Amino acid sequence: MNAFVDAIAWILSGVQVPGAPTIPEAFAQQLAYTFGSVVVAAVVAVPLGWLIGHTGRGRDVAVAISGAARAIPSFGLLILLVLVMGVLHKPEAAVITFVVLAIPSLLSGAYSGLEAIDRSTIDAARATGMTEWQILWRVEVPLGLPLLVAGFRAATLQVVATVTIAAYVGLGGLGQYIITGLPLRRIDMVLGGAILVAALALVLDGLFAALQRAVVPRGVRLDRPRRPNPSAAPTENLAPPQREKKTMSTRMTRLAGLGAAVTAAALVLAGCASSNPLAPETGDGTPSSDTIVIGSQAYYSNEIIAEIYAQALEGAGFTVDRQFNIGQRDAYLPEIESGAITLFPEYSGNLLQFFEPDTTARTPDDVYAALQDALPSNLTVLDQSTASDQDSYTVTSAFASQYGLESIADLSKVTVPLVLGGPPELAERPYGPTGLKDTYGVDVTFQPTGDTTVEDLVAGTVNVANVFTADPSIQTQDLVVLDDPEGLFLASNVVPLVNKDVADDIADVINEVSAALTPEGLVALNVQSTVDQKSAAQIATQWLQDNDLS
Amino acid sequence: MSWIADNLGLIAQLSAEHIRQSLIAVVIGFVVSIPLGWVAWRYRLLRGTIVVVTGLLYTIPSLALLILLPTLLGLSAFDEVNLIVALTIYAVALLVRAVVDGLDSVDAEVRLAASAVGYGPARRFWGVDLPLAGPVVLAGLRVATASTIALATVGILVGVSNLGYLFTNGLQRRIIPEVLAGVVAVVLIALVLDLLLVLAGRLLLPWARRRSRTSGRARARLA
Repeated sequence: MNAFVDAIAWILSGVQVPGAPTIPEAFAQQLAYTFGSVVVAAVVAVPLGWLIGHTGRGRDVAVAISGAARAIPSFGLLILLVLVMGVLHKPEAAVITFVVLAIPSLLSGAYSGLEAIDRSTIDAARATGMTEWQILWRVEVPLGLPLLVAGFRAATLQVVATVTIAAYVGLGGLGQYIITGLPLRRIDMVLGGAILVAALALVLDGLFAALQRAVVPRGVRLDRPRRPNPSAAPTENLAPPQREKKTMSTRMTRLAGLGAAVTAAALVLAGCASSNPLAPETGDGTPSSDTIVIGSQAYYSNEIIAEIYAQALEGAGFTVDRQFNIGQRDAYLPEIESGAITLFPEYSGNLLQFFEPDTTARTPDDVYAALQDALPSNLTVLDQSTASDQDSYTVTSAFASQYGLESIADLSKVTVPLVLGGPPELAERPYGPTGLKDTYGVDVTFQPTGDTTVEDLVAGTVNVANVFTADPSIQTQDLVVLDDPEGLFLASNVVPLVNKDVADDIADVINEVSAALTPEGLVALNVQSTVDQKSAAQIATQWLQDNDLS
Repeated sequence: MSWIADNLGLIAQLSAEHIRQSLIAVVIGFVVSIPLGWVAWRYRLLRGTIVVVTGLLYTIPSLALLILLPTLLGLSAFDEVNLIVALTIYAVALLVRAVVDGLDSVDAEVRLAASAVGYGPARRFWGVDLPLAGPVVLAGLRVATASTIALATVGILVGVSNLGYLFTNGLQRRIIPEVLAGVVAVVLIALVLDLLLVLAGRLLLPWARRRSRTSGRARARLA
């Protein structure tokens, strides 16, 4: 219950992040993407659907295309289009993605609406001397309108819920609260965002339900039995939502309130439940004493280091269980604390800040010492490596030379508005816009750019970017990492986080790896992954051989 | 495109996980939806509630549900059960309506005839209602299968490994063929499973073809 109350409180408090859109603005973005995409999809799909319904030709092709379009993962298509079209065309990429999502429902709404019409009605129209155009416009289209509206309704609901993923590539909308809340462990934000999306979907659904009833031609409405005969609907249609909506439309309005209450109750349940007796903690993956369970972040560079640990340990005779790509710190740390994962490549500064947000340690040695004290009692860190992969504020070299920028403090000399790009959660990090203002007196607008931050910097949609220092694109894109004399960022060296039960067993092997991993070496590993496109396993094997550790 | 050739093993392994996660969700969703759909169809009072509520589940953004489920289920945050439960919920949302519509589509006179020749309620449901509802239920199952397979990719954002890995990893490493391989693999899996469902339908529901050939236009013309 607390989480639900917190979520409502979060919604009511509004968003107080510099540069981030307010909730009404995010609402507007969500609606704009939804309606923009549905309208574009309708321009394509509705005439086509009418043509198919009127002529009765091409139906099988339409069904096949609709079926294939339903199978396209919106999330993957969006990422693919952003990569292919470039970051300057993110909004277009998003609209295309959602258009593809909306087309199947609209197409089948249009043609099934025409198909469901009694043939004798059309024959009668033809017998009275109507032309084909008149039959289409005066008979078929009006009679098919309820099913077409049902198609719009299904398409709109699908799109409005899916627009959430636009935030993953930094396009805003209500999904940004869900995407931002995940790494910040802000359940109130995630739940609040979900409530807002669900509420928007409910309102839209209610409006469409009303519209669906309103568009039934008056003559038909008087004539029709109270319950439409469902067997009149084409049974072989691939798109049940349209037909289903027809039978539920009258109930919809009546039950919208009840439904809203039940959805709210479900969300309340989600917010307050902390455990379920039917699904007890099974101690998933509890390691047998001689198996080392290695985890990695959903970050390609981290996966390479984890794979190096894994191969080094296997070479030394250990049994290894790989649990790679398990998300971000908030998600995997409980697994390490519980002992389900026993070894994890970490970054000293970011890990310390996770346990002690207000820490004052800044240098590698101070951070390392503070980290040892801050860790839970069953965890420890082995030797840290000289390689670091830490947050930085980075600009293009052209921008740096134009304004003579060397340190973050120099940003105050810049005469154009500063736009900071970075992962969405940067907005709430201690070193984010607020820290930049407090430490250096620099005002920025924040623009979440997610995984395309470097491209956004190069393309000029942002002029300051939060880039990890081991990112190969700092070299390949000729970027300048600004000095940080006031210590806004903590040193963040690569450090193995281990369970104390296995620390002594694996220390020799892992410390040798850490000693061999240099800052340049880490960048080189990343280059092999991004430029040479080698797999983590190939890179790790090669690196261990090169360093005589295999 | 050499990335794809070099990583066929990875793609195959992720595809296998993807298929396993999606199929478990669809099968459980199907098994849950039949009794739920029957109850909704049989009892007027519950019908609206069940159909509306399962329909509304669809409005919860999948990513948010995935983030909230571990708290609700008390599971570890990256347990794939979270993904499977979320996918099952969305499958049920689609399938319950398909079952209700399917049962609706059974001719009332056929039902009366079955009772008249001595079918009891249970035998009539399994022997008459459900098989005749089959074609509509199958159509719903096809939509649910395709959308479940597409939706499963979001699991990677909460640490569940499947073909979605190729999207996020490909984006980080800027390897376009990797993302493309993921999209194509998802669509291919969905199409192959769809084909299998159609074939299964032809084998198990031979009357559906006869009926569909005479349905729609032709049936209307006959009438």
